[in-house]
Amino acid sequence: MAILPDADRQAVWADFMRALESGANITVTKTELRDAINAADDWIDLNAASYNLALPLPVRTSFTAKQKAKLLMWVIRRRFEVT
Amino acid sequence: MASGNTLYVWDATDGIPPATTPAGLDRRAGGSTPGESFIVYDFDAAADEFVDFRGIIPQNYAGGGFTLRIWWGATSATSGNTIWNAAFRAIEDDAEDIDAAHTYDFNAVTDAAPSLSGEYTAAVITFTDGADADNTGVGDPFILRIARDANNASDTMTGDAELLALELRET
Repeated sequence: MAILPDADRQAVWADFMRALESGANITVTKTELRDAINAADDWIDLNAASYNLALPLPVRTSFTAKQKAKLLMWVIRRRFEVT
Repeated sequence: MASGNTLYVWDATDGIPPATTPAGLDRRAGGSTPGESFIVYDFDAAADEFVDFRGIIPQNYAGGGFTLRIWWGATSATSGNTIWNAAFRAIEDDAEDIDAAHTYDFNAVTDAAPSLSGEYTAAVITFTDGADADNTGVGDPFILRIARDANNASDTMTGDAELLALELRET
């Protein structure tokens, strides 16, 4: 899996800002936020194989990449109470 | 009219969205019980967006130029700068065809976000009388177009900028 194209990272950055809640009191600039989007995508790319290996064999071998990503997304949603 | 006197006041609800790339009308809930409804226009942080306000220059305008105060706050940010743009389009008597394209000549101000999301501040843009305000004269209808220059590298504030109200004074 490759990192996201720049246009996709830009879209994530824009969508993230549009979804910020009123009164969130965000102290970082747009550039700093964009750097964080890039870093998160880089981290996913770097650790994708590690995540795959951490999954039990039945899921690892039967789920598609998209299903494995969805599984991770649901765990993160529950852990951090994000939607 | 004396310098500094108010010519016009617009609430966000007076804004007219242009046909494309308009800012979005939104309601920000106040903290009281029951909560107030602060109607604002949200200006995106990634793409330039616009809202128009209309008026007629009052008869007591004495030609001193215009000072526009843009009351705004941040949806979520507490730091960084927002660049506001403003420009006039005069609709002079039997002279301006609104079916024809008009090139808005924006004046700009860079303003720092209030220290808390939920606080508002006034950014100030001035126009000299004459061409700087598209020669908008006494009795002329006009459009005052407001924009956030979001794709400018110096616009650093994360998230939406909320336009609460405008005040137009004679300079």
